[in-house]
Amino acid sequence: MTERSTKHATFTIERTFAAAPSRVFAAYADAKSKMRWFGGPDEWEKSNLELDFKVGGRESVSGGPAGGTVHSYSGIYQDIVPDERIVLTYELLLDDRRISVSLGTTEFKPAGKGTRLVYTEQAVFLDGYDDAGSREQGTRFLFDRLAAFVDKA
Amino acid sequence: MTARSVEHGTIRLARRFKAPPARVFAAWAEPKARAKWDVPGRWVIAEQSFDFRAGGRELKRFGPPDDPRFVADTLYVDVVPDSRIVFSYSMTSRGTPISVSLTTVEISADGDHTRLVLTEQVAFLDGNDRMASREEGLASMLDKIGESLAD
Repeated sequence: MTERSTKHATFTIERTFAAAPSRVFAAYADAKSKMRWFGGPDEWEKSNLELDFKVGGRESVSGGPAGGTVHSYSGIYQDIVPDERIVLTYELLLDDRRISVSLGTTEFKPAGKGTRLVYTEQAVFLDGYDDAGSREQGTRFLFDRLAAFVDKA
Repeated sequence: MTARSVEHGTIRLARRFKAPPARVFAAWAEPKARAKWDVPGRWVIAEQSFDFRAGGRELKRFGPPDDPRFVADTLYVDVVPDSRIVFSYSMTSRGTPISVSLTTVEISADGDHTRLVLTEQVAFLDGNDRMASREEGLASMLDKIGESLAD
């Protein structure tokens, strides 16, 4: 029998982009753009990103190293203010095991001609899954890829 | 134009009920049992759908008796019978965003009683609600669960 436990955690990441808020926001708003930066490392095998970018709309993608653990991400959009804010909740499964549920708030603020992005994740990790900061680290990795996508010449 | 803001916080409330875990879980899982406590104080539920299962979605319109203007849109994510419920919900008032929450309810035996711990991680949007009033509302609902179990 699974030992039930929870661990609640919150982290915030701030990041500045040269691109304007409308450009950074657009990188979230359609599947083709978001696939350019969101998801696991390039060498992973991945499904297509399914994205229905509207309040109540769903998003999902799964993938992992060849022959290894399958990471399944599934979210729902809770609040969207164009060019300003996205709030979603999502769950993450490793194979069939649900390891976390999260509430993610992304705020896009003008900073000169660029954008100051503030991402806050409030998460509950389940049943002894030890995150040890890997979610925050993984999210920073995504923002590196987002910067490479929106700030490219 | 609305001034956009977000306030993040975590609310944690604990209660000890004189009832077995299965009965405390049923207060969430059974429509008739939940109807006894699912709004704070003397507020009313004007409309409600019910779909209690992982992946299930519920809508509830509620508020003061003369103006039930709030809508909660709930998605159950993780349900472990008699033990745990994890759900998200957004709250709006006539389409205006108020908050988005991720709520964890943990139920465990404590002697011949049951301990319930509710953890709500919440993002309040555009200053339309605050930690103190949300905590007061949730505390009222947990007290009503206790009253309903005493019936």
